[in-house]
Amino acid sequence: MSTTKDIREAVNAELKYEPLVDDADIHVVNINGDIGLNGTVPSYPQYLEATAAAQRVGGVKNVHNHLQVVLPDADLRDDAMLTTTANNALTLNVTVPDGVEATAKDGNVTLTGTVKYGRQRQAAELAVSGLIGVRNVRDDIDLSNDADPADVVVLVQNALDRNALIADDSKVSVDTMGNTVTLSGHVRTHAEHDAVVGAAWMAGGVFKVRDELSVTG
Amino acid sequence: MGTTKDIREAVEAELKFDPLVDDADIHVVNVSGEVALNGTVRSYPQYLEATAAAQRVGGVKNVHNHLQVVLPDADFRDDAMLTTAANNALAQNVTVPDGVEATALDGNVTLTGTVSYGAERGAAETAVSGLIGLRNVRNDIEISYDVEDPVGVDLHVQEALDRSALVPDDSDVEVATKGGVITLTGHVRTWAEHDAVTEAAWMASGVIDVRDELQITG
Repeated sequence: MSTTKDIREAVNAELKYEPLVDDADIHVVNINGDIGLNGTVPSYPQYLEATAAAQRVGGVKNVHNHLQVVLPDADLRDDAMLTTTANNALTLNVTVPDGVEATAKDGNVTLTGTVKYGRQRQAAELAVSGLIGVRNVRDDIDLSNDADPADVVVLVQNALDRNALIADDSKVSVDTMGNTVTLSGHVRTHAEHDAVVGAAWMAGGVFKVRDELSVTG
Repeated sequence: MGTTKDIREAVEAELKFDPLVDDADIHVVNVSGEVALNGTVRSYPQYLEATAAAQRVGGVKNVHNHLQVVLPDADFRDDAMLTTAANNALAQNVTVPDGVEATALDGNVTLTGTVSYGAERGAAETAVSGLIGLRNVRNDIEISYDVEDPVGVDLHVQEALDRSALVPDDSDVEVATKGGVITLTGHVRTWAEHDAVTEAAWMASGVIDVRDELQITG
């Protein structure tokens, strides 16, 4: 909110307050609401949570997360072990469709396969990102869906109209070309941003979302 | 938003639109923004997502989720198998502290143990809730925190609300703490704002419970 005078201080305070982030080696830079996070964290969930914490703060327009995940020795897992653990986690998850596979290399997990919806791809990421030994997740899952992308604009626009977070006078515009949705215009907060992008990913036939939204902060 | 004329219709449309929910057997009732979901879904994540979908819709003040999780035959797991899968998921998760345990009974998983923060309790729930064979999660994890005196909790939470992009400057939300229990009162406009406030309260050190008396104006 505008009560936030110094954005860098507020982001520092939020990172310190968030119990799921160890902020000991995080350095925050702010240039007019564009936040850079530099330094290291000891896990991939902390990396993700650091971005989320910074995005919660009023006045933050963009977060550039340059944090490196440096795993403590006890959390290192060899490639074969992490690959097995990750594939088990995918198989046991009811939301992740069959056919999604994980391969680990030096703690970096790559997901491959084909699913129908962007949200299923996210579910696969979520299923593996908390595993001990994960340094990063690369999501190469392809999308395939027979839904007619021509309906996408209407479906997404209707979802935005229903959404509690999106103002009636919202200037967000939704365009499609083939299976790509382009979102442009202004949103006030990252929460509103995520609501718009989340709605676009839900539509059948959307394989890519081009996010040109700007957060006014 | 105010563009939503018929809340029941809008909730139905949102459930249909959300690919993570099969709305075939969900029935929506709306009484002045109080939305009830009746019927069945086939997994616990669908149960959770149905609430989240309804909460996204403008004009919804409360969601009463009465959905039953009826697992397809292929998704049944016996108690021993699901207990093992759940404990593995907890042990392999970097955010869940040691000492949290799961026990499954007829697809209902109960979590026990002690952690330092509400957010860790939430992480344990998330770690198991997607498992095949799971019908419901009961979270009995206790929070214990060696704080000499949880003085300053009100202030820490209030500062977090002041920082939050989602909470307006003229918010009437009040934070009161007694013996590690935070009570939140006042008005919020959306469920997203509601969640921002309750999550900020759960993050504070020394908080063992959050009593949520917030009203959503819708």
